[in-house]
Amino acid sequence: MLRLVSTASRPSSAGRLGKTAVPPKGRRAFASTSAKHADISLTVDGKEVTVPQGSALIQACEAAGATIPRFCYHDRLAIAGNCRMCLVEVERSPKPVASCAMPAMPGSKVWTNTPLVHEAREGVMEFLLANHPLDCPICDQGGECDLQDQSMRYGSDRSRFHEITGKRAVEDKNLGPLVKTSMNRCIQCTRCVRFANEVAGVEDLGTTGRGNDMQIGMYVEKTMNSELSGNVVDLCPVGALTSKPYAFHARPWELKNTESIDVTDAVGSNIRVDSRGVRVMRVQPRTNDDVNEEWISDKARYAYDGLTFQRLTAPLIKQGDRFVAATWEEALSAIADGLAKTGAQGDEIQAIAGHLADTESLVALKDLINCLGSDNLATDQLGGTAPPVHGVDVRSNYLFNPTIPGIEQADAILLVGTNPRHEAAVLNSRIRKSWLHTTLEVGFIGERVDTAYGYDYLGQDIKAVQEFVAGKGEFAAKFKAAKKPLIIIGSAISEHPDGASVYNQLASYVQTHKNKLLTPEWNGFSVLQRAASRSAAYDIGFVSSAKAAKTTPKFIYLLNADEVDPKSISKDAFVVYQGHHGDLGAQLADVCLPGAAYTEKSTTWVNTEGRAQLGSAAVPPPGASRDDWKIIRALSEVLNVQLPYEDVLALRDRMWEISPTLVRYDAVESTSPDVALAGLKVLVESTKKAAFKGLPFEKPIKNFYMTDPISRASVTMAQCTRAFTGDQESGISDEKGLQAAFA
Amino acid sequence: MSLLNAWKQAALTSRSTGLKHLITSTRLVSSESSSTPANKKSGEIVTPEAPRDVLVADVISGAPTELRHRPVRIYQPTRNTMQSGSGKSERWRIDFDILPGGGRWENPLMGWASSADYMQGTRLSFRSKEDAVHFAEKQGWDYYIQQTTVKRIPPKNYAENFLYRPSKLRILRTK
Amino acid sequence: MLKPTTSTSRISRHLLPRSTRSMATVADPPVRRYGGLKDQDRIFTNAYCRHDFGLKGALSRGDWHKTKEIILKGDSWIIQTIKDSGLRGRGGAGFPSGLKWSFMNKPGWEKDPRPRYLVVNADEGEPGTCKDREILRGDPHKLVEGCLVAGRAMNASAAYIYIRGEFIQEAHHLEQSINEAYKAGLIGKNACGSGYNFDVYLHRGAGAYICGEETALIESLEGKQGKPRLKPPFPADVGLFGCPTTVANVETVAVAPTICRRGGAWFSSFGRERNQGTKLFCISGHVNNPCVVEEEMSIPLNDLIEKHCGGVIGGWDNLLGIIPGGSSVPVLPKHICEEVLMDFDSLKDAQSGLGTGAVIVMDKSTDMVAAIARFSHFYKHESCGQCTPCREGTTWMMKMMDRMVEGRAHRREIDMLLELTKQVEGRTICALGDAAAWPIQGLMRHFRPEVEKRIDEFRAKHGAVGFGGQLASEVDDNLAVPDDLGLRLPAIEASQQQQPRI
Repeated sequence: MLRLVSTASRPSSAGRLGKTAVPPKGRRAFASTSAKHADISLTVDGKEVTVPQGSALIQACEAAGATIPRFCYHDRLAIAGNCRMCLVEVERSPKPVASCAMPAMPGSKVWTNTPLVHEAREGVMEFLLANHPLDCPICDQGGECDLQDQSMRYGSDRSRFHEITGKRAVEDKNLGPLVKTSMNRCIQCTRCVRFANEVAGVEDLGTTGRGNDMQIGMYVEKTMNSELSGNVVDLCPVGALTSKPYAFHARPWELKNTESIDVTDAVGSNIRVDSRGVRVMRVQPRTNDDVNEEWISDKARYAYDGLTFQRLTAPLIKQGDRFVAATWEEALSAIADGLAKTGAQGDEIQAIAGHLADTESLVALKDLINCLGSDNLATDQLGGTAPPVHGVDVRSNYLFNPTIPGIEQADAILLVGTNPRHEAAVLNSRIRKSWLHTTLEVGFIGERVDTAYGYDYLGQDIKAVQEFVAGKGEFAAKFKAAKKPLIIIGSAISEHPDGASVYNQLASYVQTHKNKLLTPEWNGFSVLQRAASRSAAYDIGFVSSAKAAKTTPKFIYLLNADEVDPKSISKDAFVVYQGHHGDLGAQLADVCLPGAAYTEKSTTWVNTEGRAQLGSAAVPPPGASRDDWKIIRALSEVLNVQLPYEDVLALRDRMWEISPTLVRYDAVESTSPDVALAGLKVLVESTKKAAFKGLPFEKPIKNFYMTDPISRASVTMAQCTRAFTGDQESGISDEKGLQAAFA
Repeated sequence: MSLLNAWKQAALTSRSTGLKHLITSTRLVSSESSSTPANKKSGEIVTPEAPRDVLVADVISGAPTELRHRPVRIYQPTRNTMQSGSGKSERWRIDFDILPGGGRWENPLMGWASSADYMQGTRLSFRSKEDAVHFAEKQGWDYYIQQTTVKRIPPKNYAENFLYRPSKLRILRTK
Repeated sequence: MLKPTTSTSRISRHLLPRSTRSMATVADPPVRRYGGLKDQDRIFTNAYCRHDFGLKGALSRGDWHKTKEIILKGDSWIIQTIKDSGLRGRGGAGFPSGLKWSFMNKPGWEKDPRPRYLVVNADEGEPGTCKDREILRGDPHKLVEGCLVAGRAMNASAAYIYIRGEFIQEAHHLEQSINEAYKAGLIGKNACGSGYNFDVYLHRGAGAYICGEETALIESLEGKQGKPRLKPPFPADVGLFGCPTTVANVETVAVAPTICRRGGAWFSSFGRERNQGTKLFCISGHVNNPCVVEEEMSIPLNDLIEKHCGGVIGGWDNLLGIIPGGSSVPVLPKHICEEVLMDFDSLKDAQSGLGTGAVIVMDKSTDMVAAIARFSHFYKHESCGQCTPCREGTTWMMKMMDRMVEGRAHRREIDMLLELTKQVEGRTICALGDAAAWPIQGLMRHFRPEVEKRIDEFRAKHGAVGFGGQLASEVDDNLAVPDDLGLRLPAIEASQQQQPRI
């Protein structure tokens, strides 16, 4: 297998892309992979190296430990071969060869360190620098710039370019509120264009003009409307595309890097939080081929400025119509008093888990509520107070079972009531990748959306599901013929009045086609969650019993719950809000307890696959806010039901008792087909009598840029909302007012 | 992950004996350390290993006892996505979680970052995971190991840009 | 204009071995002089479009004669005939055509389900070159028939003719002849009644020179920007729409039917070994009678100009230099022009190239530096901008050449310019970088004194000139100007090169 430099000492991977796809569950023996995996060996700098057939020469050189400078080549993009920086010398080739575009040939001899190679690379570097401005001191890329790095090795100490006509000047382009352009610096590596074409599905970003007048830009003066556009900032090897919100804020060497987990959607993208002092300066993706490859969505990347606005920094107690800051003791005793005053007993005590609740605090809260004698646990969604239609007894009923890399194996996908582009942007790019490189067919039921790949539109309501299950229509036939079909049910379906019926239909479809949809290698029944906490909530059983769901709660504990319908809360109920932002939930509360945001606590997150990942704290929580589980633990003492864990390790022991998967980090525990079938059986049984109204499925996320308290508080996200959704209302700053002020 | 067991063990120890910090032999021992077979699936539960003899430095180093309450993370930094180079991702690092509460603040006058946490800037670098584990054990620090993700880059081929596909065109190239 | 071939008798051609020889003669084996193609050996008999270019006229000139039989002889026969004829690609690179076509028929090609294409490169944009347009205008049926024959040889299912967008009339003529050929059943389903299906499509380009490059042309046909691809993959493996493809020049394709009819030996009887055949030469510039003429390969350049073009304006002594193969090859000074033969090898030995056979004659009234600078402008304008050395190099070279025209440069910069051309040459994806570099190299090789003279004159007039054309007079000495501009360097350093310091 291909061993890259950085992974030389690590276990070799058995995974491949697309057609030769990744075995998602466990490692497969080498022999069981197809014959296409034949290896070839060649000599690089006198060192014998073995790489899989079809590798590029640059990969072979890397495997041999030779460092090849490059600008246009990127591991996750198509090969362009146009920067000419990766030239190497190959035996019997009169000219130096671009190693990224050259296939590795068995037995060939390659040198990466000869005078010819150096002369060629130095020549290319001189040309690149000829028209590159000397503005490194004011360039945001400074310190992490490929051109800087490589010019240290291949650049000349002085310029020969003194032309009186001067350097090239290029107009800067407007790519929207996220990506700042400085096109003078562009070296035309076209990484951004290839990213837009292949990963993001933006076909308007491209090159115009010829020769030295070639420019990168949007063809029709549009902004780059993609939920993955921030990634071009990472890809740009120079400072031509930089981050607008981060512009002139920090230098990379000042930043403390903390590797953590993103919570803006349920993908659980691996991120690196770069902070300086007590502030998060930026969020970068972290490569993880099992989850997010190298991309993160714009919301994950740019919503961080919401962490500084509208924060709850001190406990608040409502007095009359206003909140008054209080100490922790006062706030906690106010809660105890409130609980006593309402006289809530048993199931009248309700806890609602929001989107951004971490697993530790969910466990603590569930224990607390159970200790108080209540089973009334709800999730923060439409109909979240009732037990979910899919049940939570079997994990495969509510998780993304084929795993995210497994998407690349699927050859037919049915999307039901979901827009993965907005609900899980990075996951959507996997579908697009597969759609581009394989013969994947996608079917779509729900409100029409632009998914960045083509799909067969089947309908918008339960009727389409019924027709699909009955095998009517072209796509149903294609789906039946597929080897690894995949049904992705959106999280909005379980909130829909017809949800139970949809689950019934699809679960029985899976049962009847279990030879394809439910095999030991493949589980094609999957639910795509969209809230970071949801899988964990279901895993720990944070759902109410049927009896508890019918009671009217008198005491409501909102844990990061900001989507609740104010009307659903009765006037005389006592409401406690615990969270980090003064968002909707806080407005409803009688007592607010300031918690920590995801960058401020080291907690467990379970993503839509059921993969537990451990985030870590980058900055301390502001003011008096505390780790969420500690707040609940402290409250338990005030309420005289002391929870039995004193530190986070003990709490994680408790999590292990609930479900070991919660603390088996970075691994996905697959459900065996038998158990999954049993789960489906229960699901079909429980939804057998479900009635349906035939209402259309609506997309749950209307505005991708504002889905949670952090992104709603973010100025950047507000600008994105205005720029990309055309929604003038949701912006924070009032542009019309500003214009009026100038007029 | 095995740290669960270790934690459990540590937690039990602390609860039952209260001598957590003195009994160094029950310190966290990762099953991922060199003695276990490398092919062990992460997430598998393993029985705790026999305690190892580690020369304990924290008894004599004079380091503040608070340090032993703070778990450290042993990890291999991932490549910076802003750059092509994979520098600094070879070494293993130990760093401390930040102190919760008022460990850091901004100077109200100048806005400078201040900290009461003397470990916040400390980042230890090691050649191998084992070295890092050994160091943490020696210092008496609770640690957990963040597994390095396996990089899976498929063989890449320039010709793939141009290959024949009988189906409908699915990509527009604007390069 | 067609010159009356009065001079055919003047140069003897020894095609037939003498049957008898007198004993007393101790003559040396006669030195064969090439050139003087007879009318009956011409392939393009309507190159000047004096006759009907349509099907009727073409039939009268012998086109489509027994095409069916040629096709029925099969691919290997056609390829062997082409190989025997020694035909080399007429597009400039001179790759043996038979060999190139045979790449399409790799063992097991029949199992490949992909369609296969012949692409005809009629995107003739090289400055000085105008041979293909004469074929397209006067003899379009030769090309259409050639598509069928060459397509049969490589078992192609269709031919795409990529014609330059500016060729309006030519495109109309070609379109008309394709339609005629379809109507007459010569191409299309069951072409010529041979049972072979073959389609011909005409595609009009949008006017980029780079689209004349093999792979850029394929990209352009696919509807993308005309940016060359790297090789491998070679078009014979992954070409147009990912299918096996061969790109061939118009002339190469158009001569194929005639070669098949008259035999490879006939074609190879013209020209020197490895450079056989006839060729359309287009002579432009300072000659009395600029023309496109079909001539034998290896004709001496001198003969070509004297015989067909009425000589250089002002006589041969008025000649300054000749660019023998279109703008992308180095210029040759007069003394080399006198002896060089017009074929691939002879011109290569003279450090130039045959290219497309476009002879650009420049007499002494020409500003040679300005002429080459104009080429640099052209290549800067036509560089696709994909790969770094070409994108940046052509611009830089153009800027330097512009200054050289004035003489606003330092003498050292001549060597620097040459070094730049070396940094471009062979480092680029396609040959455009080479093509931009070679004329400058040729200029400096043969006309360096002229360039130096201008630099000296400029310096005498305007004072010291630094690198990049910075004038010492414009530099304020009170400022801390970096010393890397060469403003204080002595004027003449040429002696250093001739007498290296020890």
